Amino acid sequence: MMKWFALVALFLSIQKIWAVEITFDDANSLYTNESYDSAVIAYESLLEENQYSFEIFYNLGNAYFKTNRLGLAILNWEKARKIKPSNQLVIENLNFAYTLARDKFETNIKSVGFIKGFVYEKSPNFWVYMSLLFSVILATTLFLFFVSKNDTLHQISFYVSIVGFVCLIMFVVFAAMHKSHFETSTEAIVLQPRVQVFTEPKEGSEEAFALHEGTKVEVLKIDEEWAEIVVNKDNTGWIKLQSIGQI
Amino acid sequence: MLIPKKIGKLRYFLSIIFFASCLTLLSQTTVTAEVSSEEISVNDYVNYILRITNPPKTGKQPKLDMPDFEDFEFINQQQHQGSQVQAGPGGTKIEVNFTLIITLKPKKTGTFTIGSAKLTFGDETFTTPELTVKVNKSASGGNYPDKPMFARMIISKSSAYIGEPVMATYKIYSRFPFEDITDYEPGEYDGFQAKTVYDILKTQNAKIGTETINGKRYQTVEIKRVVLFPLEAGEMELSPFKITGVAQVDFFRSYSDKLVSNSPSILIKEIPNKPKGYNGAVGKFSISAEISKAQIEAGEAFDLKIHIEGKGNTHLLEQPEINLPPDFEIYGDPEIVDNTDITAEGAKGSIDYNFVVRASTQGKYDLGPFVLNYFDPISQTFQTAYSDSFKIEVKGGNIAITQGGNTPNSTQVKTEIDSKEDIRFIIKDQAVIESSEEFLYGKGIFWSLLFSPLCLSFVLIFAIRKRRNRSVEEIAQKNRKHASKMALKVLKNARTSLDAGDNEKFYTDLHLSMIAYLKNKLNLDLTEMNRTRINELFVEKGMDAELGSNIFEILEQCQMARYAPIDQAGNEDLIAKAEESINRIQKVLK
Repeated sequence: MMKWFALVALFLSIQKIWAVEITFDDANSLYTNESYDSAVIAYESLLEENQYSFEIFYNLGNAYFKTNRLGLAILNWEKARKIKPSNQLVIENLNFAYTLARDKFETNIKSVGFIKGFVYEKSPNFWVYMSLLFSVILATTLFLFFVSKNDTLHQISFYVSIVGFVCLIMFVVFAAMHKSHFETSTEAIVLQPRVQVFTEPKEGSEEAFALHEGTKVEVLKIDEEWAEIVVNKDNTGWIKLQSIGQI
Repeated sequence: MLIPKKIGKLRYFLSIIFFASCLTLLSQTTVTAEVSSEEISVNDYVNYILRITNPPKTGKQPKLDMPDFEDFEFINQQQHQGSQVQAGPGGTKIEVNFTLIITLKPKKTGTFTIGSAKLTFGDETFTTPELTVKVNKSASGGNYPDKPMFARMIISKSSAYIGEPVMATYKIYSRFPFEDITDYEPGEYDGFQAKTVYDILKTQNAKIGTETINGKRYQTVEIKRVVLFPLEAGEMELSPFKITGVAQVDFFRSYSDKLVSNSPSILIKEIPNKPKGYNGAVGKFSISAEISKAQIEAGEAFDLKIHIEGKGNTHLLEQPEINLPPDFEIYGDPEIVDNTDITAEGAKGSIDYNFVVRASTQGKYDLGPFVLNYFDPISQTFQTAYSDSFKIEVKGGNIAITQGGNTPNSTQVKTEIDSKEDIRFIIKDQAVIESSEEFLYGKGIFWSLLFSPLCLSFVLIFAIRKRRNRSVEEIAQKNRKHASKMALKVLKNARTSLDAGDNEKFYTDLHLSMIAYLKNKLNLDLTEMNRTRINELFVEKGMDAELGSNIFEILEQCQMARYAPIDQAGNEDLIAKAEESINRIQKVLK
């Protein structure tokens, strides 16, 4: 196993030197051959190349799970779920993984509503482009409405511009929702086996409680290398930033 | 008798006091001496107890002068040290005690004085008062009945703490040698746990001896020896035992008697000021511990062995409290190995507790020291024994799941991931890869791109509308421009008509050309074509009123000439006048 892993790692590093792109299929075949450690490296390298995809996060989560790194598995699945919040595969895996975490808090994950699922599944700037398109449509129809002397064109442009206006407002709202869904992420996953949560953001202060790998926490505040977190609605404390991964 | 030689370890004792005094900042120093009993029998032992509380800090080794115990035989010596922290209204007090116990046996009867002990700390000297001990002949002397045969129950102590062993010996005495004993009925031991160490019915080697009481020789047979561990406090009376003894007086006679022993009572005292985590140990103990592995995988179990050795109520100890780091779990009850023997001093030996401990979280941990608090009935203080402490490293292991999340039992410590319940397989379709672009929403570029088509559209609408308005104006201007040209053209026609002698056509043309010119030039409707309106406009545009009247003259003449013909010469003037008027208007209004 280790030999195989070392070989694959070497292979991957050579690929890097030769600037040969590792493909998604390469990573998948590593996973299928049960060389999960190498699959982790391959998926991570895909992500490093600024590739952003539900499938990569999902498969990376699987690979981490197979290498017994529960915290990282959950983190990547959660990232995948951000992209496709109503995907059943990732919801099932997460619900299974949360049962393995030592801290048993309320973490039953359900699919989001239809509209949210529809909005969040799109690529980052889909709604931006849609609003821009409808801005152009609205501008055109308004132009036609005010300028046209043809009665039929005048009427059509009136109705189309009303529809265009409604759509424009809607898509701008969707774009805002979509952005806030990704960028105002307050959740994080504990990555270390056991993490102390302190009452103050400094080493050696009183330990409030301890958390274990795979627990989902809500981040309230970040202060240099410390994060103030809350779990289970009312247990708050300070945790080292390095011991958690933000979704 | 040379006490210092025997009390050899005193130097060690003093060194400890010295070190303790260097380390601590203590207040009131007291040195007291007492004897365990002021009245004893010649066969008894007496304890001389020297207590030192809070030795002062002097920086010098203290000096101790012990009294001569010349009337006593030195048996043994023990020392104890302990500390107590008391939180009181006046702040926290730390008290350090040292106790030296010397056990003595009197050499003869009489009243003896034990001299004072002198303890010197630098300049300070503490002297204890002298003590007297009365040694009676034989304490038991008066208690024994003057009968040829009797039964006694002898107890080693008349008072004890709960848990402190007391030995009870059943003995029968006879002036004549025993032949047989029958109908033996042992008593009850309510309030005690009894451990029999010797029973005549269960042994081949009966303990038979002789004793001289009040000058008479008796044969003695030990029936039973039992160690009693008091369970509750109070004045406890032991129920007597009954036995029938048969003795041979001489060859022909035998003597038999139904014997009932005395029923001695023992005062059982509650242990004072029990500390937290006290598990009822009374006696003298030590504790040690062992772990099976110093390095384990997370989720793996290891053995923790706690070994308690000593004498006292060892076999009655409750399981000691084991403090482990969080995430260390003890499975089930420990396996207990009892290696104690019951002796006159109580249960002596060791007890091992084998715990199965599982650590689930990786890291480096300290285990122990494990602590045993016990009560020492001799010094009447609590002592604490400590084990070594251990370091254990837990390495990241498999993600072990405990089935159903319940507390697992020791037989099934961990279960690997259930194959039926596994994660879903990876997605192998081509990933929809998108570069992780930034969200444009909310950026300046987004808003400007969003509003620019609308703005552009409004600008265009505005421009086109304005252009449309302007084109109406332009036509008027064009007309104005063309007005003179057209008028001159018509005038030309009129002149041609004049030259041809067609008067009617000439007037019509002239009239038309003037009207059309005015209409176009002044942008007038035909309805506005009257003298006053034209005059107004002329004045408005800064032209002579004369010009206006000229034009009307021409127009009137044309109308008149159409019905009443005028001479030809006038026609020439008229057309010149018209041309002149047009030119003059043209100068003012371009």
